[in-house]
Amino acid sequence: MFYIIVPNKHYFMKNLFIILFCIAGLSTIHAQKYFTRDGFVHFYSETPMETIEADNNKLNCVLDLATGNIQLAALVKVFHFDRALMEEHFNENYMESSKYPKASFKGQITNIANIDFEETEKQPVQIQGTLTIHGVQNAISTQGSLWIVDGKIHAVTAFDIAPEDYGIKIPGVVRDKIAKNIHIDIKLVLQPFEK
Amino acid sequence: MLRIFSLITISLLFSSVVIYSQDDDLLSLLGEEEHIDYTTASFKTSRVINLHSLENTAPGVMDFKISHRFGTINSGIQNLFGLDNASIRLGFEFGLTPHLMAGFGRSSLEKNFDGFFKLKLLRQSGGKRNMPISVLLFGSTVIKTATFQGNPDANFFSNRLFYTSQLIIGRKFSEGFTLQLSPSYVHRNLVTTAQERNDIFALGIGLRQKLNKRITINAEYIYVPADQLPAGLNNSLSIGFDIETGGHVFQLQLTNSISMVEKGFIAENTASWSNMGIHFGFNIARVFTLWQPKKM
Repeated sequence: MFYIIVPNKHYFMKNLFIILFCIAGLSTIHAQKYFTRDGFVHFYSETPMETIEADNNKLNCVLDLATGNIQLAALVKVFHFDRALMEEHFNENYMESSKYPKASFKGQITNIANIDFEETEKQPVQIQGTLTIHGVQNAISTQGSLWIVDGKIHAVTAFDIAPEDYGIKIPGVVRDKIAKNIHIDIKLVLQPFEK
Repeated sequence: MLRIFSLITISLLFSSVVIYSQDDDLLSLLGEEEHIDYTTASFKTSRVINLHSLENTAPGVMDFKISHRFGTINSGIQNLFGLDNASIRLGFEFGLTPHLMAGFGRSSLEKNFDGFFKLKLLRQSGGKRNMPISVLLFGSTVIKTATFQGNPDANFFSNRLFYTSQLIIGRKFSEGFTLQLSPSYVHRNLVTTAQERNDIFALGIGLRQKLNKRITINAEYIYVPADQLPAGLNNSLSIGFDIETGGHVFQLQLTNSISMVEKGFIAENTASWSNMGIHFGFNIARVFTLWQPKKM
């Protein structure tokens, strides 16, 4: 049996509680989260035949500074195209947005420990995680940058994805009009999350 | 003392579990978004077959429609089952606002010019605002410019006019299935015989079922109570397919209506399905973006 001899029980307990409170206090500082409900995501596909682009400025994002965990989600239907018919086909034929209403990312800023959250100059970030589009998950990793303006975290990233990786079939007649790789740009301004 | 340690251990374990579960779904912190989810793409285009559908042309877009109805299939091989004989309508239809479209067209049959508007009164939606149906108001005027038949003393411009008012009430029940009702009122300033009425009340029903992402099967029937039509005129029944190929929608159909304007296909059908007196026909819709509507 495991037994500790303590000269003064109460003294020990007092210290313990202080330690516990400190831990609790520390963890609340580090558990600080930042968020946005109106992040910007833009994609474009460019071929000699046609340029297709759309944007969505209702991207949701939460970043946990303690762990570097970052999550994003966008409603597919909110993507706006200049051409209404493209928007309809995007939802109906490719993304099947009534079946798969959201596109999301769940991952981590892997170098969060090296990031200074006071710095106003751009700092490189490494991001890794799982991107879910059209109900299909794929691991992705990309770079971005991050800087602070007036207590808000500004972040940008860009990467390419291939529709076929996400089970999005493109029929022969339009194959020349849709790029093999779709370029995605993301811009975020995250503010502290207070309950 | 042991008790204190176990308490600490348990509480630490528990707290780490809590932290972990929070991290697993950070986005839930933001709560569910308040968003009106408007139902879209109830039909592939602004027509079921002949009837106007629940869909409007999008704002800033012109829909150029080329429609043909051939002769009756029972006219036999000598007329290539009607293909020798075509009735044409060219239509120019414009989305003006998210709720309003208007257009005009010209038919070879009776040399009709038609102008119409279609206004969305209610839009089917879910999410923040739950609206089970869409309701649209449609109105059209037809000017018959063919050489005036009948008593020349009645050859006034007003006697060449025909009006149709229609409510279009429908619901996209599922991703694939849409049903609509089109109660209609047709007014004719002049009718050719005493047996015909100036006012006709009718009820259209239209539906579509998706066969795959790009092909749908459509059907419509327009019921006109028997006492409103003279003998020899039939209710309109049409079945067809919509085939969407990217920039175009092809609608192929079999119908006993030769006319492509409301007053004609509601109240003037001489052909009948009973003796295969039906017409093969098609509508081709090609859209052009004319201007960018302001972003919402």
